[in-house]
Amino acid sequence: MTYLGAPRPGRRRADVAMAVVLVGLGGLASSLSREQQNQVEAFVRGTALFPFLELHRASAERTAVGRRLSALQGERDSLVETLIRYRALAEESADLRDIARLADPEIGVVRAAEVYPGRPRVGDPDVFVLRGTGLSDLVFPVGVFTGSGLVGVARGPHGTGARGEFWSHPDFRVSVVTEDGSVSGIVRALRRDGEEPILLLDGAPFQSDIAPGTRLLTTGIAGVYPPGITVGSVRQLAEEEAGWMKRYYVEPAVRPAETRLVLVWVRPRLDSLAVPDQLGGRPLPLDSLAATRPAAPPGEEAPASEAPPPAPSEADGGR
Amino acid sequence: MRGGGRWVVIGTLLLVHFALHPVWTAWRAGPDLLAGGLLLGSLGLRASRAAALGFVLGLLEASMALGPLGPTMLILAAAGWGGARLRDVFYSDSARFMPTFLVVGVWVIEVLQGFVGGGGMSPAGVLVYAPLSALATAAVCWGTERLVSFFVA
Repeated sequence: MTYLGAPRPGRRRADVAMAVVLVGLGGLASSLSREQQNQVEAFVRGTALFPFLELHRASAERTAVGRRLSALQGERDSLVETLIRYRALAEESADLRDIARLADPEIGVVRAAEVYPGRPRVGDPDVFVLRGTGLSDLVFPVGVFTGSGLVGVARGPHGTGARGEFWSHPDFRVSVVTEDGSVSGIVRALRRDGEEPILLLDGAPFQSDIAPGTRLLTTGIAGVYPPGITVGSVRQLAEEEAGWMKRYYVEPAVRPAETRLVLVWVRPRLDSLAVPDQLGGRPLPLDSLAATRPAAPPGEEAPASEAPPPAPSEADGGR
Repeated sequence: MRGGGRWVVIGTLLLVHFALHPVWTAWRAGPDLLAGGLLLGSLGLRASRAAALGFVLGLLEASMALGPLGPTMLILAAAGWGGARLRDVFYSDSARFMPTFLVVGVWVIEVLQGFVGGGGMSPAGVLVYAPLSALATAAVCWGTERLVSFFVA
């Protein structure tokens, strides 16, 4: 050995061999798919990094409890006010559904989860990991939100939790509608150099005119996000595109850096969202005029390809 | 500092880095104790072992920060290798060698991680935040070394 434990020149061949092996392993790691990288990361986080992550969680909990107490009290007060305001509306809606004999809408339930504290130093700052129980068996992708608005989307399981993307991720898209339901479009992230990411409403009709401050809500189309979650509020018109459509800058309702506790939507089973169930179990007629046609003479059966007309009921007045 | 004392310093730096990871990530120019520990470790190891140390630390860092696995492991492995090879080129017991080595090394690692691992870096990141982070790293490493040598001696 030379000074400071430096190797003799004869060992350089072994050093080069080790370097080749490491470069090969690094290349292999780079070629892994995102899911395979997730598995490797989850394994390391569950073993070597577990004590550190537990320490972070405990520290974040202690800090968050004190800091959030007053905010939670404020949120609770505003929720009570909202509940009182909408109770009459909910009762009216339930009465109307009773009259129309419609099944109760199934909007799913939510599970509480915690976003891993801190934004990553290297890598993708638009990615998060959720900690919580019962997250890994969800049907992905699924929406993640807080009481203030939409946070992002959980893309897949990550250990016992889930991994997802904030709304600031370039792949993020959500279908939205204005509060009054007059304008709809697709919202995506917009990141300008050196600025915090914001949202951009794409595809608003050219004739539409959305006032600044108008809230945009999720439509629930495609079943990834529950309907009615606030995505953001319109800031200003971004551009008009050749008489075809308009784009608007949108102020996000939730900032990723401030997100800690979130709700993950457990959407209802797909069959309970299907239209026949919404019609109280009646099959949906494939032909909207089928019910108005005279009944087939006795002895003649409808072709097998045609759906039978819906059974008349009090709800539709026997039409 | 040599031998066991140096490894106590390196272990302390790495433990503090992972234990306070959310704190460092909140600062734009916080000390990168992982890079500091790796560079200090590379001075006492053969190039291949220093590269292996960087490789393992890259795996831990990428898993902790949810960054890209391959690039992070390769950058830190290359940093370990380069650190060990540079020790053969320069006389490393000079009092000025260590801080200069740490500042330049951490600066280079930060910039590489920013470009390869983080997808880009602004000119301010390269010329302001990365050098500040490197200076802070060198200061913390020097302070830890003084502290450990006080107790070890």
